[in-house]
Amino acid sequence: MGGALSKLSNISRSRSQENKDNSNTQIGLLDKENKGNCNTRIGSLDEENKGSEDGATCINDLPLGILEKITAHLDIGDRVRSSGVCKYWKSIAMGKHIKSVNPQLPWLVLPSSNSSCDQITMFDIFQSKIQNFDLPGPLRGGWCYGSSKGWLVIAKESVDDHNGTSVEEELHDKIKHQIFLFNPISRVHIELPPISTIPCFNKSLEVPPHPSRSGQSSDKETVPTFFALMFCSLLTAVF
Amino acid sequence: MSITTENNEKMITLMSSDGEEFVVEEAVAAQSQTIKHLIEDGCSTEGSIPLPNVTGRVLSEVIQYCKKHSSSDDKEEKELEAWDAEFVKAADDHVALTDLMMAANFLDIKGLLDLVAQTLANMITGKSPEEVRRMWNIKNDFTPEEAEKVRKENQWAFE
Repeated sequence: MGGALSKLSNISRSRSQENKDNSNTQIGLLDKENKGNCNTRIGSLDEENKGSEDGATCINDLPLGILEKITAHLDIGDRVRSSGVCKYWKSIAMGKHIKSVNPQLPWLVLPSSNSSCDQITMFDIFQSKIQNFDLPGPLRGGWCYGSSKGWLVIAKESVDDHNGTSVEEELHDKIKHQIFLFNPISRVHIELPPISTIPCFNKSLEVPPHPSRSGQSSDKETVPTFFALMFCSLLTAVF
Repeated sequence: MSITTENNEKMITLMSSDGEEFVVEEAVAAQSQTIKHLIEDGCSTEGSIPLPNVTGRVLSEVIQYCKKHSSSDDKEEKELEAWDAEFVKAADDHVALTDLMMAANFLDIKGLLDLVAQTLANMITGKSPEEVRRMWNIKNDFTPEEAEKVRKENQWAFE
């Protein structure tokens, strides 16, 4: 009996797969007629499913557009988890065009115990949960300097670095640092051009500080301000 | 066919896919943008409005929602929220939420669409992929390697 039932639901599922494909292809040119066809067939499939297994209706019979609307009501953790349900859900769950309906509380980037690390630790205030994100290969050993709109700024010392002792040498060291943008959710990372390509940064190194030349003060202050901002934003929201 | 009641309220007849007829006030029916446009296009004067995608069972739930929302004003927002929560809970006993979602989408009733989408999303919240699959009888069509890849790439969400 159980075998027959599961067979029935398998058949209806494979039919619903066809439906899904149809509704997918129609999505661009959905008019009322197409919607109608889709709906009617889905309605009858639901009946079959209902009869077969304790009233559960297969949500996968819903067309793409509707599943996207449900996805918009999920938070990021649930979106990621739902991408592991099946291929159809995976194709929807992480769609960048689906904007979350409910505002999500920001996560806090926690300072790491070591000066550099292979993981970024974040605190999810809403769930009171600590989340660890492995850094991708090229970013390992780097550290988080700040964040903006879901991207983390990861800095990493380059291989040919040397230990400077004077303040000026330390600044030169920083020029050799690689700086990346890293999105912990999509795991996309982008290497930014070296900091030495920022004109004001270079200029500030070339012009030695001189108390009597007030005209240069704005350039001088650029570098410390820039780094101070990065440190301050260690605890800035990710989302 | 449009009929007028004693209070001069214009009535509209809606016909479900299984031939059930529902006579409702125009203001109630017009909660649905789809029906509103049909009325504006003059479809309601030629008899009842056929809704070939919505069964009587689902339509009766939808009308219940529209009645409540056309009679309430903004001041009763809190009360309406509580009513919505009860409505969706009760509707779940009579019709599948997925059917209600399809109807809300076809009839273009934003409030109902959001309400049902949120309810379905709440059912997914905090569940593992296995639990979601079991809840809705979804077949896992990933190969073990693919499943492992999804898990590994997003380890944090599965812990």
